[in-house]
Amino acid sequence: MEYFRLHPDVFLTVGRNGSVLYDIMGPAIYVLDSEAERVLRHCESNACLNDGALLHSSLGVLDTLIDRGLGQYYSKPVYIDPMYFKHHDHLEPPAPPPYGKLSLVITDACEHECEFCPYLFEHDLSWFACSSCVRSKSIKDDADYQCQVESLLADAYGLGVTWLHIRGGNPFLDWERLQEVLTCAAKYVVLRVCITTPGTGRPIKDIISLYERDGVCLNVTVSGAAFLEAQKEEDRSLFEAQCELLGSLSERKLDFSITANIVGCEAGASEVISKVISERFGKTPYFAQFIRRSDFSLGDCRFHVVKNGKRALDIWTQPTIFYHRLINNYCLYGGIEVDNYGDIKACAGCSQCYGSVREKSLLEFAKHNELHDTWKRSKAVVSPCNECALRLACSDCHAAEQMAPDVPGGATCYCPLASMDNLYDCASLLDYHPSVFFCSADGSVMPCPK
Amino acid sequence: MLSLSAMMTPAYLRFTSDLGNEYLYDDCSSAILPWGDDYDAILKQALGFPLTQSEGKLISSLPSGLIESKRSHIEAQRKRFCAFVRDSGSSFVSPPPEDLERLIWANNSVLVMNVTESCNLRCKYCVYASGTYSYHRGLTERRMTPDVAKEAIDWYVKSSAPQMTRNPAKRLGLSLYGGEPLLNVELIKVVLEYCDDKYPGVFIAVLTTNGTLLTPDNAALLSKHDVAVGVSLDGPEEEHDRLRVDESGRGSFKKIISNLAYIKAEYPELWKKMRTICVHDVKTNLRKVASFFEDNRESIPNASFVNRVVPANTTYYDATSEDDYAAYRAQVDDLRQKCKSVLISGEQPDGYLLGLVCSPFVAMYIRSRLMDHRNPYMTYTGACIPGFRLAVEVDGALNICERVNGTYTIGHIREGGLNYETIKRLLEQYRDQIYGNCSGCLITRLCTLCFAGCEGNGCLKRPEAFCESEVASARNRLSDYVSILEQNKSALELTLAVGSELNRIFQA
Repeated sequence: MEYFRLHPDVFLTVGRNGSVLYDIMGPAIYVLDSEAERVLRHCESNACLNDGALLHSSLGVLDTLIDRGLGQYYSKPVYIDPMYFKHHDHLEPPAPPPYGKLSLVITDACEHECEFCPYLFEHDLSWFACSSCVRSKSIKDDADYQCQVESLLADAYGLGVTWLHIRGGNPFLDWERLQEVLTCAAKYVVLRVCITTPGTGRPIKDIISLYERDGVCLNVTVSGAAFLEAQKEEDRSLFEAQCELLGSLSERKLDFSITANIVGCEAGASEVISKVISERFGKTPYFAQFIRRSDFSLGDCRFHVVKNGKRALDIWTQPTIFYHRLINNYCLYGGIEVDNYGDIKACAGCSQCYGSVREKSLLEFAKHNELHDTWKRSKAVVSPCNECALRLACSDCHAAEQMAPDVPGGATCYCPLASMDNLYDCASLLDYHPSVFFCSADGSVMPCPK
Repeated sequence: MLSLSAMMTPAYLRFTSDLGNEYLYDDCSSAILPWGDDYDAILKQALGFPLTQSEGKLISSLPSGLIESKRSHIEAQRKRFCAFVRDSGSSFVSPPPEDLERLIWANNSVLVMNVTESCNLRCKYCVYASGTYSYHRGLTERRMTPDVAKEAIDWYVKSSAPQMTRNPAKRLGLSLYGGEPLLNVELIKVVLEYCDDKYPGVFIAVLTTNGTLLTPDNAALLSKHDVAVGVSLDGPEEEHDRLRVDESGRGSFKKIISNLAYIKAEYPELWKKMRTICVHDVKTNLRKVASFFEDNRESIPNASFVNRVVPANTTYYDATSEDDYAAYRAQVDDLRQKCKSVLISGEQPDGYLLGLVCSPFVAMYIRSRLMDHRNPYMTYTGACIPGFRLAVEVDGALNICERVNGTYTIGHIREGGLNYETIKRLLEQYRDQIYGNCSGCLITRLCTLCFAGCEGNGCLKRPEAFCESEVASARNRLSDYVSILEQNKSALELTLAVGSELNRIFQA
């Protein structure tokens, strides 16, 4: 056999720092050493294996890839048809933008002073808040905006939103407004509602009563440190109240989730916290973290579920997500954030504001493309990510991207791999992941070091 | 051996590229895989299908390592993509009318408005005028009235409201059609002004005309309202006038060319948005027509749509001999090869060639893949759900599209618009009368059959020998597609860019 080609569901990405093979259906990734990269680039150009350009000792990688179902020998040059979706991006059909999620902040009020709360820090704090509270320190007046919930939800529903995320502060502290939002949301049967809250501020029976409405669930934010029994004494009562609520929800088999803030926790804490929460409440928690600009500039950049202070990989869980990432920012895609003052953002962590629903309706806003451009901000257009071979297995966090160029050494902090020329040699900088392997030209494959 | 149920049937097709490489098209995943006799024998063995003697011999002659690697590839494809075999017992889901309504108004993007049933030409292939299409109406003097037109527009905008809300940047297509629509130019004026006044920025208007009535006044009107115009022009004078004639048999070529020259000089913006629509039959000298469009790029709008005279339910081809067909096929093959060479060299073929022979390559490029959503109510063939495209007739009756014969109206703008129960029944009828052995088909994702191609008189019927010829055609399309990309993997990107532009202008 004189030729070798990768299968259609295997994607070779070449970066300044090396090459990575993505087994899309696996999912798994193979970081290639420089010789393995040379061999595969040679093969993918449909060049003959016996043309003298490759050393025989370098071809072991091909047998390994065949063994792993990633490629095949051929006796002639062949065409490998990519296994993408229909090429919508070329034809640009008049498909509606896929609005799907609306995050709505209904109050900044909160009765706690959690040590990770952005409200308590200086204005330069940035907050990565995918599933946590988003309380902010602001002097804006929210009085005018509060009356617009009905039209806002009608517009959101019209745009195709099916998932409403109500956040604060603690939304329970503005119970009346929360009820108003829920009443409006109840008009739209397909709209599912998640309320992120510390879980305090109302009696448990009131909180449980929220479940009388179809499609409502709670996301309770807790301190990860509390589950390690490491929190301060004064926070103990909050933790106990939260546990009581979580116990009640669990006992009644109601739909809920838990987000643990792991700010300040030691490396590896997330595994321990996850285990404790799972055993106690039968739920695997989400994790949330924040970083400050000062941390960022000092190189102490810590992302979600950080382990050992290293950049976490974010490996796709569905092939569709992988394909999405080729052309979109999957994290932001379809999402819209309206904060307590009516300002519209792609997400709470992003600094860019696209307008305000106080000035124009969500529908009018949707006629313009600024937000859609953000959704399409794949790693192919983000520097330095577009030069990294690992870009398709990495966090899409646009908030971090926005902050990176803004602070000294930001790019390096944004990604510890940014300054690395050789991914293979820098294996120790990668976060451990069971689906990551290091593959050399002789065919040896090693799992990513823990 | 892979474990399969008794209902599983093969769903793959083998084909060979121009370079002699063998491939397999797997209809379950829509994947195209390099293939060969050895792979095929191993696949059959893995699926538990009986092997021929030569296949058994082939397998026993292969090194065990090779067999193992190919088998593991096959098993991976099967496991990952449910490849190679389909459950032939798959059932059709009967659509709830309310779901149909949601689906239709989430997908519809064009209203074809048949403004008149009369025409000033008597083209010999016309489905209305030629008398050779038994199930189509003839030409009549019926014209749409302003009241009907306005009601249709109001109804259409109202029905599209959820979609417009969901995507406020979206524009709806309004296709002015006939007969010859410019015979009812008074109505066209009313429609365009009504849309501009009441629904500014909502519509993209397109007009399909035979070009004889593109007078200075009409050109001014179309230019003023930014209408994209498609002009029927079949080629050089002798070809065009052979078929496109008036009542007394006189050709229409000279008049059209003169009108086009005027528009190019006086209305350059309108000219930029003009395209030609070209029809040919088996006796057309395609080489000459292709040269005509290539040589007259400056004076003739780009050819966008190139169609053969519709062969279904007609006596049009009765007098066509086998020799005529053979000569026609030779011409098409010749132009196809020429077009492939141009694409492989990295160049862009002329618009006529693109329309005549390239569109199948592009269709293959953008075919539905594994992860593309398949419509649950139209699982097989290329038919769309009635209502995805709409044609409103002169009296307000609603039809599936402008190409159908009107036997199956799906509603009326004065009777509440679309009748979803009727559409549901039509889908069920399509299932009962057309699907047949579709679940055992090798090319369900590539099939081009639609309602327009299978209308009978009060029933739907699959054209005779359709499936055999469609499979053969799919095999050729696959082979051409792969042959081009084997030699230049970016060959179709430019063509797609042109398709994208066309899509924006004509399909709104």
